[in-house]
Amino acid sequence: MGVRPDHRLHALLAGLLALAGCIQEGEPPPVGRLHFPTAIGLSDDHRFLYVANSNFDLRYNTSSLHAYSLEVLNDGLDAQACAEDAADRCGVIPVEDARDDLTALDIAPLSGLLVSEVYIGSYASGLGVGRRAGGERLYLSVRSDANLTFVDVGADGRFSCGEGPANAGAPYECAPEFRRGNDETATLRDITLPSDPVGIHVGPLSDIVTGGGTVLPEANYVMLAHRDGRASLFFDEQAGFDVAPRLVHTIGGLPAELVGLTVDPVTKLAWAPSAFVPVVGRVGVAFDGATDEPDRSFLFNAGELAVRGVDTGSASVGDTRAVRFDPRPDVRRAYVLSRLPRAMLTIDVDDSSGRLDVEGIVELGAGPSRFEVEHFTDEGRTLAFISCFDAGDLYVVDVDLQQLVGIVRGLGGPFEIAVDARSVGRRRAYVLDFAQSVIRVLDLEGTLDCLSDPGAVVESCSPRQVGVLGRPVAVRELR
Amino acid sequence: MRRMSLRAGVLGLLVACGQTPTIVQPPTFERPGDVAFTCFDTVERSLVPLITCTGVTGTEDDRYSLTALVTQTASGEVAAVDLRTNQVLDADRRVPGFTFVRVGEFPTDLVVPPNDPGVSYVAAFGSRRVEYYATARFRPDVDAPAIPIEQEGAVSLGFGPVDLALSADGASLFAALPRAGAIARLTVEADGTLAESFEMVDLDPTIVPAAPPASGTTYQRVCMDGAVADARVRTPNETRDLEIAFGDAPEPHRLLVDGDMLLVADGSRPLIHRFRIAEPLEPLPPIMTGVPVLDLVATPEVPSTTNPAETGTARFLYAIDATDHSVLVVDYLEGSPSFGAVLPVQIGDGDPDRLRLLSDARTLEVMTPGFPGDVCTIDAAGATSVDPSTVTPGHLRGVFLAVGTSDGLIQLIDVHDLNATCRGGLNCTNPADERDGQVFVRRHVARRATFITESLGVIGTPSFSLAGAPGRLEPDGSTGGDHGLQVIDCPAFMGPIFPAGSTEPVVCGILEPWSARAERWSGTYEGAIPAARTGRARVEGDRIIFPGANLCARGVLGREDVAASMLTEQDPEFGYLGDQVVVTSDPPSSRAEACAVYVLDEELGTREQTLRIPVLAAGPEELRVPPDHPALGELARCYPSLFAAEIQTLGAFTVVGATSGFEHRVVTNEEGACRIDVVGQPYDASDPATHRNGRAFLGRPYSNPHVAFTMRDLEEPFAVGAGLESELSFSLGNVPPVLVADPGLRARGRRPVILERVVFSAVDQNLYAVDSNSDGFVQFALDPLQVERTFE
Repeated sequence: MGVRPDHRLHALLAGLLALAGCIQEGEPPPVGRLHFPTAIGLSDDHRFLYVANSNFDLRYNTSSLHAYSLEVLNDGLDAQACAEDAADRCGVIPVEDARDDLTALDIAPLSGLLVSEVYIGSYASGLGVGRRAGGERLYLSVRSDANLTFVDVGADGRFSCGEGPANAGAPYECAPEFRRGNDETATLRDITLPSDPVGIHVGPLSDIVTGGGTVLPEANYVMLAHRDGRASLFFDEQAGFDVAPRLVHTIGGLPAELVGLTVDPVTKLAWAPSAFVPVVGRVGVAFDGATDEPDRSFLFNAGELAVRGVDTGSASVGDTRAVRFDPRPDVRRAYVLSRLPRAMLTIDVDDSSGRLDVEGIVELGAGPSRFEVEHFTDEGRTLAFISCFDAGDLYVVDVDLQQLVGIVRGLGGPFEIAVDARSVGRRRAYVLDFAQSVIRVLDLEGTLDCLSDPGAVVESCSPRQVGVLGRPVAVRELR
Repeated sequence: MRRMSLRAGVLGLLVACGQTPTIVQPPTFERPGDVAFTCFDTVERSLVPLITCTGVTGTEDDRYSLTALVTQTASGEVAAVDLRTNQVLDADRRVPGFTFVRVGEFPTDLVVPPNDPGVSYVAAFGSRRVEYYATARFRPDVDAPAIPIEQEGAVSLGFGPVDLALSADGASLFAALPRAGAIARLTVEADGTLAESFEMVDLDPTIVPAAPPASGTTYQRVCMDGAVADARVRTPNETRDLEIAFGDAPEPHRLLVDGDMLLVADGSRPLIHRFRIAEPLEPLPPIMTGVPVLDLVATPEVPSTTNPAETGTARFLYAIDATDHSVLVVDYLEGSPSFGAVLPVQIGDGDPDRLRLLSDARTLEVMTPGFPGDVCTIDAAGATSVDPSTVTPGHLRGVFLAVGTSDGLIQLIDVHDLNATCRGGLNCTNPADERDGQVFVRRHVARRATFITESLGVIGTPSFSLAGAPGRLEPDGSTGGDHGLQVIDCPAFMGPIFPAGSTEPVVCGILEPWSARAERWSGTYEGAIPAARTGRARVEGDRIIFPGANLCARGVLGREDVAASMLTEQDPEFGYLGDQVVVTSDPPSSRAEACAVYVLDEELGTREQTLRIPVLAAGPEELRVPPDHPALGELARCYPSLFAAEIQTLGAFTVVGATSGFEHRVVTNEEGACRIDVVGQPYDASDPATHRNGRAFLGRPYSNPHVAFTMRDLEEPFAVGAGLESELSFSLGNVPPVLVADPGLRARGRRPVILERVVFSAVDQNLYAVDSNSDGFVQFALDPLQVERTFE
């Protein structure tokens, strides 16, 4: 019986992780260099794009976190006017990373594109953006030494994690006090952060409070999923007794091989898919708004939802990779990204008791990995953008019609996606290409116009790739 | 020889178990979606009418080659498979590897006119058009294409088509446009090309009164205990009044041409649109299904009963309910007094107007192997008119519904089994196969996979534990202690299952395999009601809040809810004291010392004391409890913040089936209170399907739609609210498996399947399945049912 390719990747990663804690010799990554990026996020005002690199091959002694100016990025790509058939070798790159190896490519160095950069631990597995007075705070789950790294972002997009605002060309390593993990064991319950954090969810504390009675502090909560079936909860007050997230509780007993977690905006339960068994775990946060004693807060196992009604090949195996909830407040649906079978499952959330109530199945390409679901108000469309890592494709699905409406092929190794659905006129999707260490930028305006205009004679409504950010480097063995 | 060796399989629950299906090509498909067939004359090297391929055997001895055209939805291509040579055809041999014909983006459907196959039509959803191609493009060995490449083209529709249907005369092609809420009618020119202009036909969303179903005759063949046993089989209950929210605009999903009629399945409005295909299209009154539907198929006219002496006929339309992917059945016989009515078809605890399926339906097909044909007859000597070795569950001759399900299987439903009259022997005696003594064949019901040689029964020995001490339930219902079961009379339509066949049973089970389930049953004294729990409970005065718990839907009842439900003494919940709230978490660390009796001892797995509070009244998210109950004070003292809690029954056994769950009739009324639905779900002692009750009481007969027993009354009854651990447990088995075909079987094991289409080919009498997950195209033989070939 052969080993599944994604399991081989896990095994390799596990081996590298074991080394990661002790190998710290060598050089830091070059300034502005994308190197196996794994996590992406947008600032709340959609001015900045945040990207965490994984340093997957441990080539460097640390990894990096970048902030890019979306205005500079998109102006630059528009000026490049890359031909569609050449868009995978045409684009822009921070001037800080420009070298003489760009001559064979049509990639323009841009100043002002890279806004800020700091060094973080290797193997960042997730990135969440939280609100904070005067800016934002980024939270990163980092697997190399099992920590929650947090980085403050000023209104100008510059990171700060120990030495003040970091300029684009002068990155520094985040100070230890901006990490919470094995090096920070003292908590109210004397607990430590479990190993291998693989997913993160961030939200305002007010979202998860039950009851009332006291004035809540301005704070974020951070939930982490750990690969071995555990979950952790941090509270991060924005002012007062502490400025750093505090580990409040951790629980086990969730399904093995967790991949991430996503919080249902109505029930406030986090759904945690498993790449190993046919269940989706659920975790709740109990935070009592009637008291100001955070140690009374706890995570609880809210029960698993069995993946039934689809064919996983065997009743004992399953592989789901991500969950998203419909962004429309009046639509109670969840979408589950499944690899066994490879499909996006549409779930009736309210009718899912003990098992997922599968309403729809949209088949996908090989290796579905991550997805985002966005509602486009003007067009009245809700679309799912799905990366299929093994196929190298990005699928676009109309979730109401349960139909594939677009496909972008030849993307290398597409992984996480950030969709800007708000910047009308420049609505775009930013796709991390893990295998080629670039960010692929896709234009959605043409797709939305096409879908909305029945009079147009079209060959395709699929998004158009407008270019790349970074220098494509093919790493085929990861396929 | 090769074909014969492939046929030598053994039929079982999963067809082709033990076989080694042959994958005859390297992987070439990419997200296949739909399939159409055409016939190729290998001598004249031309395409011929499809009927010419009738009787082909799929071997190289055939002159004619049945060719399957398969859309590749990811790559926007159409592949061709030669079913005579078992080869996926390379459309352009000048290019290395397999090359398929590029078509528009996301092809959703493909039509090859059966009589004039020179030009084919492709619905390209992403390109929002219908394209037409010389069919010879897909079979490059055709000498003379019907039209040159330059004449190929497309008609842009502005909206993505999801389905096509060709009129019987081949003059009109219809396209379903869900986003437009309309269908397009395209004109087919004499040379097979499409006219540039097309007609957009709006669909009328108006709902009209639905036709009521008539109580008709039953098509069934039932042999039990060596005799015809129709009288011991229930008839379905009435159809339901559904309260479903519909979309405002029509949303056509599937088209069906039936003679001069065009039917349109609407995925938004609760109807099937009907048109007479004329110039212009003539709208006819719709068929009111009560729910939107996604797919539909029609049977040919079939006899109304299995009695050959009766001449009445019937015809049915099957459709997939868009709201829950169940399958409904419509009377589709022109002239029938209940034409267009949704029919009651199921018995047992499921919805009476839906087929009982293993899983949700994704696609439907009507198969007619050997139909029309002669009904099997038996002479006085017991000789059958057909080969007796083919009178088995696995040999399909007649009319059957194939349902492609979401769990990757194809489930077979009986409509008209030409061999049914020979099953079980003459008057259900002396069957052709001695294993065929028990026969359950019924129209609209899942076909069984095997002969039924064992009656339903309890597997192994039931257990009955008390206070953690394991106990064994003896055949007389005793356990060695006072507790146990008592001998009962089985309710209607149930039979003794423990001891099996006993005249003094202590457990009875439903007799009909159609409504039975193999599952484990447990009855736990004051056990938890499944899913009635929360990790965020809190107290507000005399109320305990369960955020998001939906308690009425779980079956929770308070004492006052029972009293207010207008029960009669016959109702099983009559006199019930109401459920109880039980705290299941430790006090917070700040109270752990003061409230140590409520802290879980992790070694023993128990608490010294557990807080239990009876429920007076229940609502979806809150419970009212006695304000002066001592446990409420303890709750305030020891749990000042949130706590975890669950609902348990009080003074009753909580009866739960592993699959059936906790049966109940509790709904939320207009005031937001939990009430027993005695109006919508009345209790009928003569019909076990109405016995939806999950609470068993000492000394009172208990039954649900599946099993029945009575807990012995005790001289010293269990203390109410004591949390005593006592559990009855048994497993019901010997339920005959249903017949399914599995497209996921491969030589190296099973692969997950997403069924896109299931298609019956009348010319070669085979069934084909398109699987987009494993990129497979699978051929099944039907006599007997087994995998023939798999293409990838």
